[in-house]
Order: sequence, then C-alpha cells, then structure tokens
Amino acid sequence: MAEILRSALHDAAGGRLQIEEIPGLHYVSLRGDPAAPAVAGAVTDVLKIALPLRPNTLAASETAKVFWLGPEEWLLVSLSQSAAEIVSGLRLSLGGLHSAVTDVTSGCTTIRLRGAGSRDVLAKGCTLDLHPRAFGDGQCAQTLLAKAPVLIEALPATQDCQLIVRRSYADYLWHWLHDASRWAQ
Amino acid sequence: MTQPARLRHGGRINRDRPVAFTFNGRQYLGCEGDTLASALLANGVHMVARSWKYHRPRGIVGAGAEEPNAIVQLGEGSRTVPNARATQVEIHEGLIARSVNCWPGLEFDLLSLNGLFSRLLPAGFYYKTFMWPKSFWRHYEHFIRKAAGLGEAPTERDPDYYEKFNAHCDVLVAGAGPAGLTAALAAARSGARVIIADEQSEPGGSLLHARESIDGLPAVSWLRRTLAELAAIPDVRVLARSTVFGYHDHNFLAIAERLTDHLAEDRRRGPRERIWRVRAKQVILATGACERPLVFTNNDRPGVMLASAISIYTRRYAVRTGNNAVIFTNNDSAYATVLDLLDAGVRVAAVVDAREQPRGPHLEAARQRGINLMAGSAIVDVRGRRRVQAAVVASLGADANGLRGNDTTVVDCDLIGVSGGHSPVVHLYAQSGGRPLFDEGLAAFVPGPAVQTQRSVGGCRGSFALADCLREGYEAGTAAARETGHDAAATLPPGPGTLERHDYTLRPLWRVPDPPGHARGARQFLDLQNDVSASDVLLAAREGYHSVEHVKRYTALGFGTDQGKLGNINGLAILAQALGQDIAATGTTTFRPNYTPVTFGAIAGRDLGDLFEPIRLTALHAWHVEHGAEFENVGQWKRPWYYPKPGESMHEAVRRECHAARNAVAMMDASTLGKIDIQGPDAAEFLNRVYTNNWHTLKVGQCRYGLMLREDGMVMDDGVTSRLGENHFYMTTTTGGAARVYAWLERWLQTEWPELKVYLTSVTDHWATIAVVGPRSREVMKGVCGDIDFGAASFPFMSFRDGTVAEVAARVARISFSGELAYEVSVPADYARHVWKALMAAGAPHGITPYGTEAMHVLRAEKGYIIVGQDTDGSLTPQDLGMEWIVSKTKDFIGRRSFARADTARPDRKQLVGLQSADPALVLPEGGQIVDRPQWTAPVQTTGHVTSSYFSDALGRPIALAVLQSGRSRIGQTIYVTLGDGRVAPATITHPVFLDREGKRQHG
Repeated sequence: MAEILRSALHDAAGGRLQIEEIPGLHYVSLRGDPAAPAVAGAVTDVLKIALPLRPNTLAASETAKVFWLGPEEWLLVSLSQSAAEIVSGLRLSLGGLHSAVTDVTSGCTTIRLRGAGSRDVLAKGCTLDLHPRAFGDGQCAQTLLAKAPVLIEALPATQDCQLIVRRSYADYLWHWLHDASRWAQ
Repeated sequence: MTQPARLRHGGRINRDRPVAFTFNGRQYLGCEGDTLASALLANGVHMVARSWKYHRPRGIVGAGAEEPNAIVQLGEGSRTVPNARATQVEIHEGLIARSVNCWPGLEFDLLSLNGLFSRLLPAGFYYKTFMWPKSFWRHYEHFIRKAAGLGEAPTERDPDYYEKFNAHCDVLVAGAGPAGLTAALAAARSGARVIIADEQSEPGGSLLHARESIDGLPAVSWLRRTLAELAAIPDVRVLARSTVFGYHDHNFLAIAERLTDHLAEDRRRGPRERIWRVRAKQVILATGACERPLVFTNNDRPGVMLASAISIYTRRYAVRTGNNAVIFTNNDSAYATVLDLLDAGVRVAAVVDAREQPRGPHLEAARQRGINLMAGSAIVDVRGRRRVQAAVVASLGADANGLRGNDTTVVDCDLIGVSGGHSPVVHLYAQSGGRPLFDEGLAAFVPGPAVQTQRSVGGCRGSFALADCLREGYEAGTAAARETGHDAAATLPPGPGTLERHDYTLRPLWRVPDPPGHARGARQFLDLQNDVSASDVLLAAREGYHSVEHVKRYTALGFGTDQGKLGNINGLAILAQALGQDIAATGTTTFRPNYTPVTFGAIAGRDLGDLFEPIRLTALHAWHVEHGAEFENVGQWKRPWYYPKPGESMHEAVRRECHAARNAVAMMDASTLGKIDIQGPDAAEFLNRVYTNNWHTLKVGQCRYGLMLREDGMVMDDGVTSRLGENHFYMTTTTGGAARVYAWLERWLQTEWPELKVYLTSVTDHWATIAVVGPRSREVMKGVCGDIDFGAASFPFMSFRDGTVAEVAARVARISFSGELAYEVSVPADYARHVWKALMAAGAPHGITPYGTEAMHVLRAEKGYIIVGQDTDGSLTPQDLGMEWIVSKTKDFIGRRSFARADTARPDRKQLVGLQSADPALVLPEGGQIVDRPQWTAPVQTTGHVTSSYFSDALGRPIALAVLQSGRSRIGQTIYVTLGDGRVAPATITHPVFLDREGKRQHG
C-alpha cells in the first residue's frame, strides 16, 4: 500500500523542543461563496464544524479542523473521516451550487512543534508576529517559513504550533527546522 | 600585576581574572571586562597604528564606535575579522590582534616616508596623480592597495553559525544609556512589549562611568536595580553587544547581536552572531552623543584622546591613561574628566579652555580641587612624535579665528584630553528619513521632526545633562507605550529622581588658529583614519568644491570604517567657514546604513548551501536516489537527470535511455509539472480566454495542448489540459512556471473577469505523474491496469481514462512529449512509489528503463517540441515558433491584440528552426551565437542563437534547435555558430522536426 512521506518523532534539542510529523491526516480544499448558506451548511453537515468566516482563523472539533485561507477558500483537515468521504459528503450537500471540492491529501503534511522555544524557532524564518498576544488561539496564517509556503496554526494555551506544508517542500522545511532548532531553548 | 597603567581600585574589570592576549605579536595581560583598547592602555600602549596616507604614528582616541585609529585584524585563518575597533573588542583568553595599517611593522614603518612627502599627497591626490596616464592605474593601484592596508577578508570558508530572528515589539529602544533605560523602563511598566538594544558589552552607556548619583544611589547601583526590574517584566528583551545598525521604512530596524566573539574559542557555543529584524510600532532612539575632537596642529599624536574616553578608561576600566595631563575644552563636560583624573591620582598640568569666562558645575567642582585654568586659550601645537610630550598653548583672539599675539606657553604632558563639544548620534534618525537640523546653541546637528513613529531622547537629541536624559527617556517611553495602547505606567510614580540641571555653555571652535609660522590647516587632522586635515578641506573649497558631498569624495573625509563619526562635523564647519556660509546651509553628508560594519556571515545567516533555496522533491525522490540517479535543478525541484549504470558516462546513459523510449519502453517521473484543478460553469470560457486555441469544442475525456501568452503576445507557458467533466478541467503547466501561472490565472479571475464562475485549486503536490513511453508502453499498461481498454481506437491519442493501476485509483492520459506511443499515469502522491514499482515490475520483461530530464530533452527536441524558457525567452510569438496552427482567428484571448502590431508581423523576426552541424561529431553549444559568415571581426551582428542541442540516438547524429532571423525562409542555407573560443562551426538550417514529422508513432 501507500508509503507515506515520513513519520518521525524528531527530538531536536535535548528533549526541550519536539518537532514531529503528524502523518495520515486527510486534507480537502473547499472553494465557494461564503454568502451561500449551503457552503457553511455543507461543512456543518459533514464535519460538524461552523465554517470560519473571519480571515486567518480556524474552527475545530475533536477530529477535524477548518482553516480560512481566503474569502472563498478553506482547507478542511480531518483525523478520522477519509478525504473521499468528505469530498462526496460535501458535494452531495452542496448539490449544484457553484463550488470546488478537491482532495489534496497527498499534497499536504502537518508538522508539529512542541516546547517553549517553538515560536522562537519559527521566528527565525517567519516575518509574522507569532507572539501569543498577536497570534493566539484559533488563529492561522499563510506565510513563508524560510522560503517554503506554510499554513501556521497557533495551538491553544502554549507556544506550540502546527505547520501545514506542501509535500514537495516538506523535506526542505524539515531540514530547515532541524537547523533552526539546533540551539533552541 | 604586569599592567603598569592599571589603577589599584575601581572600574568594572575583574582583577582576579587575568586574560592573556597577543597584540602585534607581543603577549600582554589584561583583565576580564577589558576591551582590547583598555587592556593595551593598561599596559601603557598608546601607539597602535600608522595612519593611512602619511603613516604617522597614531594612538587610541576614543572608547567606542567612533574610534578611527585602533583598527585591528582579529584572529587568524577562517575566523579572522578585519577592521575591528579595538575599543569595541572585548578581550578573551587567546585573542590575537594586529594593527591593520602598518607595513612592514608598527615600530619601523617604511611608508612613514610618505609623511615627508605629504605635499605630494594633497586632497584629490588620486585624481591628480594616479589617473594619468590611464594605463598606469593598475601599477598605482597595486601600490595604493598595499599602502592602504585596512584589513584582510578571510579566504577560507566561514565555519561559524549565524542566524536571523524576526521580532516584533511595541517599543524598540536603541541604546541603553540613561535615556534609553528610562524609556524602556517606562514602556515596560506600561505593559508594552519592549526590546532595548545596546552595542556595548553591558547596558548602561555613560552610567558605567558617571560621577552622578540617581535616586540617591551611585549611577552603577541604580543601573543594576533598573536592569533587575526590566528583567523581571515579561515581554521585555534586553540585548547587549547588539548594534542597531539600520533603520528602514515602516519602522523596520536591523540589529546585529554578537554572541560569542567575546569568549575564548573553546568556550563558544551556539550562533556567533544574530541579526534581529525588528518591526516596531514605536521607536525610541537613545544613541547618545559622540564627543567632538578639537582641530589643532599635530592633534593626531598618540596621547591625544577624547576627554570622555579618558573618563571611561579611568572609571570603567581602571586605567591610568597618562601621568601628566592637559585638558583642552570649549565646554564644561571635560571638567568631569579633570575630576576623574584627579580622583585617580593623575596630575592635571593645565586646563585649556577656549571660553573667555568658563563656567559650569563640573568646573566649579574642579576649581575647588585646585586647577591651572588657562581661559580663553587653545592648544595650537603638540610636541612629541610617538607620544605627546608637551602642549603649546596660546591665547585666542576675540573671534577665535586668530591668536592674541604670538606668545605661546609650552606645557609638558603625556596626555591631552580634548572636548570640542558633542555631536548627537543622529545616524539612525537620519536613516529613518529625517533631516538633522543645526542647533546654534549646541553647535551641533540635532534631530528634526520625526518622519516615522519615532522619538529621539537624551544625548542623541542634544540633551547632554543626565537629569534631562533620564526625564526625556521616561516621558518618551510612557508616551510611546500609550500610543500602542499600554498606559499602565501612568499610575505609577514617575521615574528616577531629578538631578540639578545646568545650561550647556560652549564656545564653538571648529579650527584652532595655526601656530605662528605654520601653513594654514596643515597637520590639523579631521579624519584620522583617512588622514584628512583642515588644509585638505580648505584646498577643496579653493578648488571649487562647495557641496559637502563632493568635498567628502574629493578629500576622503568620512570614508573608512568609522564613517567620519569624529571628524565630519568639524570638517563641514570648516568648509562652511571657508565658503563664508553658515553650517546649516552647508548641511551634512548622508548618514547611510550600516551604522557600524556588519559581517557578511551575519547577513547571509543560514541562507547557505542546501538551505539557500528550497529543494523540492517528488514523492519518488527516494527511489531515484536508490537507483543511482544524477539530479538536475529545475526551478526549485530536484529532477532525475539520468540514471547512469556503473561505469557509464552521461552520454552513454542518455543514449541508452533514449534508445529504450524509441525502441521498447521507458518511464519518467513527471510529477513536477504544475497542476491546476479548474471547476465552474465558466471553466471552458476561462480556458478559451487564457489559451490561444478553442476549448469549447473539447469533449469530456479528451486532452488538448494549450499555449499561454502574455498580453504582449509572447509565449509564457504551455501544457496539456484535460476535460474531466462538463465544468471541470485539469491543467498542467511547465515545472518552472507553475506558481507564476497559478497567480496569473487568479489575477485574471479576480481583477479582470470577476463575472466568470471559476474556482482554481493547486494540486501540483497532490498528484504524482509517471510517463510510460515507447512502443511497448501499451503492453506495460495492460499489465498493471485491467479496467481500461487500451485499444488504439478505443483509447485514442489525446484522451484520458480513469481506472485502477496497481490497485490504486488512477487517471491515465494518452499524451506524449516524446512523439512515441505514451501514457501518463497520475495517482495521489502517497501511492506514487507503489505504482512506480508496479510499473517497473510490469515493464521488466519489456526492458523498461527509467529516464531522466536529459533524455526527455533529446526525445522532445527530435520532435521539435519547444521547452518554454529554454527555446523561448519571452520575445517569441507562437508564429515565431511555427505554431500558427494553435492560434485561433475566431475568438479573443490574452495576447491576441498584439498580433495586430507591425512588429509581430515583421518577416525578419527570429523563428524556430533546426540546425544540422556539418561536423557529425560536434554537438553545437547551447547559447552559441549565430553569424552569417565564417569570417568576422567584433563587433558583429548576430542573427540568432542555439537554444537546444543534443546528440540524437535515433538519428545517430547531433541535432539542434535555434531561433534565427527569417529562419524559416532560410532552410537549407548554411550559418555559423560561434564556439566561444574564436572559432565557428558551420551548420545547415533545417526544419525543426527531425523525426516522424507525420506523428505516426504517437498515434500507433
């Protein structure tokens, strides 16, 4: 069967900062008109999550997250439901409404940084303000980390963060993170 | 203790921690906490350099970034640092330093003969002497480079780790002297996020040597308490050894933090330097002021120092800078130095004050101690060569431009402390876009109105009294924090207690009159590092240089590592006097980043080697590595270039791969192609507008090649798009063009055609694509896929089918970039390796051969298929490429209008053609320019160039594609390709399709 990109628990700095890939998640891109009730309705139907409409925010349940990426664009990430189920569920719920539901599972992976130094490591390659005062719970941002496009998510109540990165950049980003955390606290 | 000039008590050095270091090959001992300059002075070493032009002996002048003379080369080998200021270098065990400006040595310097010939080296001597005859410049330059010295860059690879850090804050404070500290304190107490950076080894600035008390505490005790309070407040960062070196737009500032250079090499851990890229809502500049030297004859002799530097060495570093001092000042501040010297037991032979009636609090305190005050006087000359021996003092005339009579008094001394007033360090303010204004009362440039959300406080604003610094800092910190929404401090008691204030009285004295019988301004040095004297500026003015920027370049005033931090203001004041205009009208030269030099290592950071640019990998990369592929960079991607077998050359491997594709079967990882999913009721119309051909006629299940143009009608991208459903298409783009095309399409949708109902989704990374190519490819596909009918008629060329390949849901398209029967298998990338291996296994009986981009290039070139960006360069139309067939005449599309331009219809445009080299063994060089005649002399008009060139296995000879003026009408003619070494190679112009022009093979 399929071989996933990598599954490693990488302990970069003596146990203080942990960087790990979270493999096996399912990713679906959704494009549609936020003003159309069917769009939010479809997401609620399938994932039981209210569609986030505020820029750069996400909504989450125990098993899934929905990231706002643009005025008409969201990324749905699921732990339990397969992309095929989500795609067919959304399409069924959306009916004939002009929209685009696209499985992008193989194109994405998630990297989690845990530890007090997590955001400092990201600050070495990211120009956004990642301080909890400016980038708190429920916020996400699409930006460049070093030279890789990433979606950064602030994990609640910690310095921890998650990155969603395109598959082809994952190896580069992994090495960059390893390098940037070499001296991390 | 072997440090003869070390004071017994006081200072912030650790006498229990001796540190051994080497200067100019000699071992010395200093103390922990010393700078190289303070340690040398503690060892009685004043003379540390020879000057740039005249090679005059030079000593330590300052105690900070302004130091012009004590410029040293640190360390050896890969870690050597050129042009460090000894005043800013902290000593550590094993430090090796040497003067940069003395050849062959400091003590015996051949080039000091220059001093005797100084008349031959006036301002502008470069221009006057060395520019003629022109051809001699390289000889002169060799001499000048050697004579000029000034450090050597390391030639070995830098072994250290440098990093960058992006930071954000409400308030950034530059400088942690009294004003900066109270600013940071107020902002921090208010609840703002604060960064305060200071370039010295410890925060404190002038507090580290101040005589005053604050809140009833000695200055250093107050400093300790303040730093402790700052450390306890969250979201406050205090950066020491950190220079704010650049202030850019949008309150973006750059800080260089030096992390390990102060440690012995075996104690260094972690990054050597860190560049902070700070975006601050509010900036407070508290960079202090720089004491100005006074300009008098032989003012460059070792032992002539800034008065404030003497205080710093005395009080902070516990160094006795001399035994018998003369202080020369035009303001009160130098009397603090008098007191410091007296406290340290140094004799003060005289205080020469330019003011007729000197006054001030420090003076009054000094008077109590009994001093020989020579008011209304000036030092007009200095005796002694390698060390000051005496000061020659004369009475100043009423207007200070001349002397009162010819009487002089000689005062023996070994140290002269000078204070010509203070120049606020307005560099960062000026970098922020502000224009410094001249303040007549202070005789100094001070910041004008703020241009960004910025405040200047303390010395850099022209407030030189400690009480003013503390108060201004606290007020500015409070106000800046309030503007960022933090005003918690408003309820707290005001900051540090107040001190007695006093006026700053100063008698401007830009150039001391020449001693009797001396030439005007000779050896009255302004810029010690560049050996620019007052006479040079006066000469420049006489020769017609009136702009301060021109005078700077003519005289070299303010060049060099110190950027004229000491001498510039004196120089422009002298220029103003010479021109008979006021200083404000003369203006300053431009203060540019960087404030002090920043190492290349720090600027590069981690953007090096494999991290310099992202390396994008396909899902099959590991397989390619395991199977010995050589890789080439395509955009950011690593693509297999060819797969050599043991002992095989590239040429042999590529021939073998091509042979398999043409005669059996071969396969390639095509996953790097850009892939865009296009959905919506207007998707076909959208494609119709962005491609040159018609898309409404494409049936579901079919594929079509498209050519995308820019508005100017030039080819920008190409690729095959499949119609997955009535409203659903799947576009592929070139590998390198993917991101650009995606952004281009979104731009047109969002800004020009918002009425179109189309959604785009990038699926480049989701899909892996494997090309299976060759006459046996059908058999291979049948072996891995049972639910697609691969019959030639039922699954024709340029169509696709959904099916199951090796148990994975896949899309199989019958498209070809080689001209062979071929299939492209697309599966989600997670399954790529599995499917690839299944195809390899199914193809094994047929001799399936993995091939790389080089073979792909050969195969497509044999067919005359272009690669956008290789055969095109943004200046070619479809017609130029012989692709009129793809350009619709019945609909509109981006770029169409440009075909009505006369220029795109010119018959002599460059056109795509084939070339056949006359030499059957010669693969013409790609990029080779084409000339029409075998003999030519430069300059020659070239008529085109070779765009692609390979050895064709199928044809058994080299082939090439070229773009050539009027190329298509010249088929059969001979042209000549330049080989880059003066020779040319004849070649015949041919049709660009070399193989199977009818396309039989791909339709088979």
